[in-house]
Amino acid sequence: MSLIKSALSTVLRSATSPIAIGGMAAVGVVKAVQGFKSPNAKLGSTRNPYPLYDGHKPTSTPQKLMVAAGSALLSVSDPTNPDHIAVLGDITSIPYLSRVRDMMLRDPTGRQILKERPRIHFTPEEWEGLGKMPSNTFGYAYYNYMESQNISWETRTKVQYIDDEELAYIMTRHREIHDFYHTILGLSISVSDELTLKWFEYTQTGLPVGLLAGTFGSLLLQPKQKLAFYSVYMPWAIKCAKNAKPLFNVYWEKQWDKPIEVLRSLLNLAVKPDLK
Amino acid sequence: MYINKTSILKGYHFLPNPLYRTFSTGGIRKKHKLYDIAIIGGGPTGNAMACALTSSPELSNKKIALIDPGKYDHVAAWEPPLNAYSNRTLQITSSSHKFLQGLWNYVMQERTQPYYRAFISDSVEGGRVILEPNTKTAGPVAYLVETKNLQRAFVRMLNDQKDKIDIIDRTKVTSISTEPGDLDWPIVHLSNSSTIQARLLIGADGYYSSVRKYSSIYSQTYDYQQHGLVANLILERTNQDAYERFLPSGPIALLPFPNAQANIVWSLTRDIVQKLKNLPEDLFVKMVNAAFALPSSDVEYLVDLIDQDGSCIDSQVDVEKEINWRWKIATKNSTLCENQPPRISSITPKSRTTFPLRMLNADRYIGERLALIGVSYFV
Ligand SMILES: Cc1cc2nc3c(=O)[nH]c(=O)nc-3n(C[C@H](O)[C@H](O)[C@H](O)COP(=O)(O)OP(=O)(O)OC[C@H]3O[C@@H](n4cnc5c(N)ncnc54)[C@H](O)[C@@H]3O)c2cc1C
Repeated sequence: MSLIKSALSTVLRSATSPIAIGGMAAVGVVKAVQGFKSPNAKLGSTRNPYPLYDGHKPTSTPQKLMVAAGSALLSVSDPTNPDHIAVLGDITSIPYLSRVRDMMLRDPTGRQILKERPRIHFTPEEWEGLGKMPSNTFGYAYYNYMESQNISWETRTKVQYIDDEELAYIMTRHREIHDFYHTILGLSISVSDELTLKWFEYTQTGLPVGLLAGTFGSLLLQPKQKLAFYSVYMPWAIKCAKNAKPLFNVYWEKQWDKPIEVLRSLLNLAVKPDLK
Repeated sequence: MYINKTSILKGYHFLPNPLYRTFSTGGIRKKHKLYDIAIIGGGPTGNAMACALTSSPELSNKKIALIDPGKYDHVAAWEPPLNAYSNRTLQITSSSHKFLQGLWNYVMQERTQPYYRAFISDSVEGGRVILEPNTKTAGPVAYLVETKNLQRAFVRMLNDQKDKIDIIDRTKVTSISTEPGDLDWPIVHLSNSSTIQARLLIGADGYYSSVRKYSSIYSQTYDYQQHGLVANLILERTNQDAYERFLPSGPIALLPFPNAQANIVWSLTRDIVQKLKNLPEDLFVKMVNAAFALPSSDVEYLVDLIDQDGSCIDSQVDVEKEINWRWKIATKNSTLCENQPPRISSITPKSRTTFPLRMLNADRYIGERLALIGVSYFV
């Protein structure tokens, strides 16, 4: 997520002061809307003015647009806060999330996930348990990836602006399973790998966050990296995503003890090509 | 009307009496019964035309015939089902209703339903409109009537005008021709081996109209690859409004009838229509309720769960449970359609039928000594 942010600030570095001013205005707008307790939905409207899920902030469309614009500015002027880009992700995804839902409804596992709504969560014992699994398993590979990159499963931001609790769950799931993608595709958190993954996600889900990041993020690449990215990694990501089973329809929590190679072939996946 | 010279000379511009004439072609002597007007086909359009012509004082001295393969005595004696309505329905707009004023006395009016409002909604974008007359005193938008009730009325009305029309039922037109010679009127060959010759032919014989074929009027046809699925349903409460909802696979409409009953017409692609026709009746009712209420993606998903023979594609999946689950989610998120009709509680057994939806448009609706009406020229 931080890709868009840093990319935008690279582009806009020269325009610091207008952005700072815009940023301050944006803080005001976002604060005002976030503090908004009961949206003035028309009398008789069936749109639910009350929160539909934990953390939900019911908003009208104009409010959403303001929040989106505000967050876009904030993510540039305040790049250390990952919440702004998450908010932007929430709002820009709304029109596309129902397509992900349709994709899930059409698949037995996708349907099971929608019914059971599993959440990624580990107790410290469970987490260490993954680390003790045989080294060829998916569980161990995931543990190893997270530890080696020094990241935690807990850092995903909450969904707030999606006025449909099922779609909100799908957005949450989208964020929560992101690290499984890294693991199974053998992608690190380097800019080039993260961009490759964005294209993979975008191809499979159609969610625009991936595309936004994929487009702006590529501005961060060095010329040589750019060449490799556009000529090899991006085409590979798109082709691989198209050939593979939709990763949204994988019950990841049930795959820990599968050998990762078996899982890859079940999902018709390949790891990123090695240019060396 | 164009009359050829020789016939004027021979005095054939009006009908001679007796109405038979003989002439010879190549030595074979033929006898054609002559009419001023012959209506081919006794569907709703042909019968309406017959009633209109026989009620017109200006045409009282014209000799008129109506030819149809149906059994008119049976049509007149139709006994309506007791606790149900026939699944084929016609909608009579208020202007058509005015035109049919004389007929309405013959209609079993307690089996018709006027309606004043139609609720139309779109399942994808959620748009909706309510069609209603703009004044309080205006009459109904339209009347719903069973096709059989209307046909029965037409035939009873025609029975009361027997002296003005010859009803040649149980008979088909096998071909139409013209013969070189003195009279250019088309000759209609009938399945009972007789022939008639008419000054004006009215083709009301439906999609495969023999009159249109004879006329060589070019017609464009197009198969929509869609079918209409109709059924008679019982609602949870009385209802006098019409409903239509546009789903990506085609619109579904609910037409009100008295006593908390309704007919539906659901336009669907060929493969879906078979699934829904074969679905067990109780599940079909749930599916129709879902089609009027749930977001379109849910409806599509639910329909996808059904196989061609009406069973579920996956034996592990319980369609009814899936419907309930999607209903719960839609209720929670307020995504149920706001213009829903009353809930449907059951279906009249075996009342589902399907028919193909096709387009036909003839280049012209009139030709020499003929006119095309109803489905024979336009669907
Ligand atoms: C199975 C089915 C179900 C339908 N259900 C509905 C519905 O629920 N609601 C709705 O609005 N519309 C429905 N329709 C469409 C509706 O029936 C037509 O729009 C309407 O009947 C058109 O009337 P018509 O008089 O022009 O033609 P038709 O009703 O087709 O009448 C044509 C008549 O001509 C006769 N005929 C044909 N060939 C000859 C011949 N060679 N010689 C003599 N007579 C001939 C036929 O026997 C028939 O009586 C349905 C159609 C079908 C086929």
